[in-house]
Amino acid sequence: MARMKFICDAERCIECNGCVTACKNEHEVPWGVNRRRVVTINDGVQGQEKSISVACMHCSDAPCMAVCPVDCFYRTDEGVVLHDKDICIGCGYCSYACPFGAPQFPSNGAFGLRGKMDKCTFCAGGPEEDGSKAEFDKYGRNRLSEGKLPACAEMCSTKALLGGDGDAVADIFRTRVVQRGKGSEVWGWGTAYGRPTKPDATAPSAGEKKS
Amino acid sequence: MMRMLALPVLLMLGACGEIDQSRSMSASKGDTHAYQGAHNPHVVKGWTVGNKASWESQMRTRSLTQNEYNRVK
Repeated sequence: MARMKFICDAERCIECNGCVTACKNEHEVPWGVNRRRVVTINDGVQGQEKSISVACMHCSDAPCMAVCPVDCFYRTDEGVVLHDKDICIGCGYCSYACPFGAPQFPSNGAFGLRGKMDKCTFCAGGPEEDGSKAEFDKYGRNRLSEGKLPACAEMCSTKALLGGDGDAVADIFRTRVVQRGKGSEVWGWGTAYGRPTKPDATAPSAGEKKS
Repeated sequence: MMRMLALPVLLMLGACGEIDQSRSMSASKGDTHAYQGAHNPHVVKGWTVGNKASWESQMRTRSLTQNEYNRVK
């Protein structure tokens, strides 16, 4: 069974926000809610500026699931963490628990200032009939059931953001690191999917580029 | 007299019972598998709706198209 994962390659991200736009357009996400966003550190510092695209990482051991008082989260067979908006009470616990700041809350929902939680679904919809209007209205488009991958990853112009079958995207990233000889640090993977077994592993040197 | 009082007392006591809410406290609604396909015209060709292996193959193929090294070879 494929395990769906995101990889953001900080060596490639150019902060174009194409992923953010693709996501908002695909799911018609309301104003004020950003399921995906681009974070830049050392902005303007020559040679040190890095950008990463951040959304729900669909953690293997998701903290949001652990803290939810109404148990509205569930995980699909592909490892995608989804939630049921009919059960969510908009308490915001998941927001505090999430290390990636993924849970978002509309400002004009049924609960006054904070509505029911909204987050990246890995374009897998939610607990409504796949591809139905009800699903689209609540969770956005279900691209996985259409045989597609998340819009953000497929739209990424530099292919900094990779999404899909964990083995496949890891293969792509590994090939890149070998080719360029640097940038093996995968942002967020340790937090989302567990720590690497070899934390001191380094990228191959330039001489080992071609195997 | 006692019999006449027994029925209302039983009804009143019955109202004090707690309704079991445990089943409504989890995502019991369920979700269908992605390989069962979306019920809309946007499903792409290249895989068989309802076939898990076919869907997984489609996901893997689609994932690998993100590797631009394959395109420049």
